[in-house]
Amino acid sequence: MTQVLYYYITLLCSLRQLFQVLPVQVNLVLSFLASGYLVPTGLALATLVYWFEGATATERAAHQRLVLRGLLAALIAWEAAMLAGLAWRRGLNNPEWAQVISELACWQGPPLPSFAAAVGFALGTTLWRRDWRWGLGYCLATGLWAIAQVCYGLCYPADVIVGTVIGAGLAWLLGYADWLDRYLDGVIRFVRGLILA
Amino acid sequence: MPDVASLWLLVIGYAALTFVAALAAFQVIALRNDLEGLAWAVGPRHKLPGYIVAGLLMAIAFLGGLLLTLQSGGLPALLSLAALLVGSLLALPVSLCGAALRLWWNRRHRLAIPHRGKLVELGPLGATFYRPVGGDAPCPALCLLPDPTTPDDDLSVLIQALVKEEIAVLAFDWGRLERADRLTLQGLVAVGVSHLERWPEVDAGRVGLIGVGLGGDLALRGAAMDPEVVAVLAIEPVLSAQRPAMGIESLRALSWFEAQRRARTWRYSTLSAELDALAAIPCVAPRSVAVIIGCVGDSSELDNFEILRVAESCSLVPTTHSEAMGRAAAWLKEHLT
Repeated sequence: MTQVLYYYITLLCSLRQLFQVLPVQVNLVLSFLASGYLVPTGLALATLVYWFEGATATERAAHQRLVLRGLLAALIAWEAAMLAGLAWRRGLNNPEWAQVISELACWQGPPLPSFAAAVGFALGTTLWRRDWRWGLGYCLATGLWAIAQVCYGLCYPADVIVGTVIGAGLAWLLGYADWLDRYLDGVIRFVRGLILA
Repeated sequence: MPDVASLWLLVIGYAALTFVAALAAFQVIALRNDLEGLAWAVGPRHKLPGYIVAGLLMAIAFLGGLLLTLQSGGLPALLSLAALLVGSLLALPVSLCGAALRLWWNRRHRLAIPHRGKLVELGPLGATFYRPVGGDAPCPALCLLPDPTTPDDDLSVLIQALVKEEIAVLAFDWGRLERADRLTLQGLVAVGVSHLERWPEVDAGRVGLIGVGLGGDLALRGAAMDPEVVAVLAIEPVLSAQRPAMGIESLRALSWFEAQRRARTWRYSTLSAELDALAAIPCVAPRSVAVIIGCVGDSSELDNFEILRVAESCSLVPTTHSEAMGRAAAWLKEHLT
């Protein structure tokens, strides 16, 4: 377990020190990229645009089903990442670990799978299954966001990897759940009644 | 760690910036999908200025976000999400209201098409007779039936297209009608048809019906009852009381409020069930029947008649859509001669 924690924490942990010596402007851009504004707002607006896309009602309904599936995957991924983080915290909330942690050079707090990676890759992977261009755009934007968070010292690189696995894996699995379409169509019909789908 | 007041201010700041970004996104969506009812700043007919406005707003939102992030260091994830949701959710009603105001303003200031029609009194009903310019020979003629539930619809593009095809038009005006039940409406349609047949410039053997919305259902039912009607065309008829919700397509022609009102009226109007246009179609079928529809409606139920779909899209067909109205006029010209 100590070894696992050691590798989790120290894997590429010198990145933060590397980026700290860069010019202040680069760090400003990094902080903006890493913040919860630029990329999440961009992704949310792109999702909004995708919701209304489609030359015909059938095509648009397919997009809307995909958006709902992606949002569901993102929500589940968020929960899963949070639960994994809680498990780490509970596991490390022990006096025996205090000694081990004090010896770790790169300690920045307990590990917590990256929410950014989990949510962004869940959405990106869902869209990729139907429209790889949109999926690629989402994945690139999420990747940029997660890398900026690592470089800015907000999370460990392994956090991003675990978040990516959780998000992408869940979305991929959810892609096989065809039975979901029935319920998603119900939501779309409701929103269509509001003349917004 | 900022105190609660400054945290609130920060959330409001981010929500305001997200609001601006979402307004820009709705403008882009309206332009990409030709949604008049969502284009709050510039209509889909002026794409470049619309994209410029959206781009400027997006730049303001993201530069503002940069400044705020640099000044405050950003928000915790959950608060960011809350600001994002509040901003986007506020932008939606603002976009819909803005678009409704823009459409209302445009309608008010639209140049009126020169009125060349002759006012006609048909009992309790007012109507306007438009005859084609030139040509002394008797011409085919149509009774144009607007939707009785929305009598203020602008049908000038359709009238122009019909007159251009050398078809005389008797456009009904339901506005003065106090009671619009099925029997009254059907009786007035019959009066209109017989009035046209007696008109000296009209060829009595080439009289047809055209209707919009519930007026389309009325036209189909009217044609079923009157064997003198040679051809009938229904534009976006309701056809069934179980018609699916109109959806985003209706925003191509109407504001959200108009679309909601129309959907509600159609849903709760007993007229469509009473007229039962689907059952009327087989009675008209030996004569020429066509329906212009979008994708809504269960087309598998429809048989025995021609369906004219509007090219490239699947929308609630607006009567201001000159291409669709041109096709309607051309079809009528072909089947009335």
